[in-house]
Amino acid sequence: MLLRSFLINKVPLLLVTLAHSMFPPLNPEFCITQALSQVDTNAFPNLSAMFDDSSTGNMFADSVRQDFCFACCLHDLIAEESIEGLLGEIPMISLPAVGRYSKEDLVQQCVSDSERAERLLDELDRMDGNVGAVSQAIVEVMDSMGTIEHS
Amino acid sequence: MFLKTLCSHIARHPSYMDVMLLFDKPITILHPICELLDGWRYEEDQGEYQPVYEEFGSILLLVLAFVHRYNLSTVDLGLHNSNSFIGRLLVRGATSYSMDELSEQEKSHLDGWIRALFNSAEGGGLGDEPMSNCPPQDFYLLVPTLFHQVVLACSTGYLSDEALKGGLDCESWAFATIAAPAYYNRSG
Repeated sequence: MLLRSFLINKVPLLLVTLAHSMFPPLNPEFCITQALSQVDTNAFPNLSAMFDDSSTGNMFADSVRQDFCFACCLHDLIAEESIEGLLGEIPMISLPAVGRYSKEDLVQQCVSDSERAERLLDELDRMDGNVGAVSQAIVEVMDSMGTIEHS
Repeated sequence: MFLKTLCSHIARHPSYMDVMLLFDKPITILHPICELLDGWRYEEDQGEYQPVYEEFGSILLLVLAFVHRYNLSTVDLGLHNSNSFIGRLLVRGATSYSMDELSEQEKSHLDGWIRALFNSAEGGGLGDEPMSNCPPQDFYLLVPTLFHQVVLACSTGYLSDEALKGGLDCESWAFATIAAPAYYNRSG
C-alpha cells in the first residue's frame, strides 16, 4: 500500500519538480509516455490485468497504471485526453470531483472547522494524487496547534 | 484537546505515519510537538490536571510511535538541547533509579504517585493530587522507577496480588492513557 501511495501520490509531485527543468521539445507528457512504454505491464498493470489469471503474482492487484495516469493529469503533467492512448483502453475512473487540493486551502478549512482535520486524516490512504497536500496540511495544522498551546 | 485527537488518531494508524513521511521529514513533523512537550507548563490557575496529562500523553505517544517505528534519534528530531525532556526520555527514559539516585523532589513525586495509586484502590479514584504536584514530564521520567518499586513490593510480598490489581486498575482507562507512552519507551 505504501509503494502504491508513493507511485500515485508522490511520484507525480517529483515529476512536477523535474518539469521545471524541461524545455521544449521535452515535456512531462513525453517523458511519462516513454517511461510507461518501457515498464512491464505485468509489474505495473492496467485494469484489464485484473481479469488475467497469469497476473495473480503481481505486487499490485489492480489498475495502478490508470491511477498513476490520472494523478499525473491532476498535477497538469499530462492531458486528460491523452490517458486513453497511454493506457490502451478506456479508463474506468476520472479525475477527483474535488479537483487538485491546495495545502493552503486545506489548512484554512481546518482552522475554520476543527473536525475537518480529523476527517482529513482518513484521506491519507487515498490513491488519487491529492495525498501530498493532505499530509502537508495536517503537519502544518499540528504545528499551528502546538504553537497556540505553547503560547 | 484538538491536538490530542489528531495525535491519537495518527498513532492508531501506523500506515498514516508511513504516508506522512513520504512528504515531510521527521524533523518537520515532530520537532514542533517535541518543543511543545518540552515547554509544557501548568497554568497558574490550572483547574483540572487529568485532561492535561491525557493530552500530554497522547502527543508523547505519537512522538514515541514515530521514534520506535523508524528508529529515530534525537538528531532526527532536531533536538540540540541535551536537557530537553524528549532528549532525556529517549536517552534515559527506560532506566529505573534507586532511591539514592533520586532527588528529594523526585522522591516526593514517586511517593505521591504510589500513595495515589494504591490508596485510591480502597475507593475514591486517582484524584488530581499526584498530577497537580508532579508535572507530566517528571512523571514519564519516573515511570520505570515507579514500576520497579511496584514489582519489588510484589516480589517481597509487601504488595498483595489484589492490591496490585486494584492499584493499577484504578481508573484504569485514565492510567492506561497516561502510561501508554511509558510502555512504548522500553529499552532494547
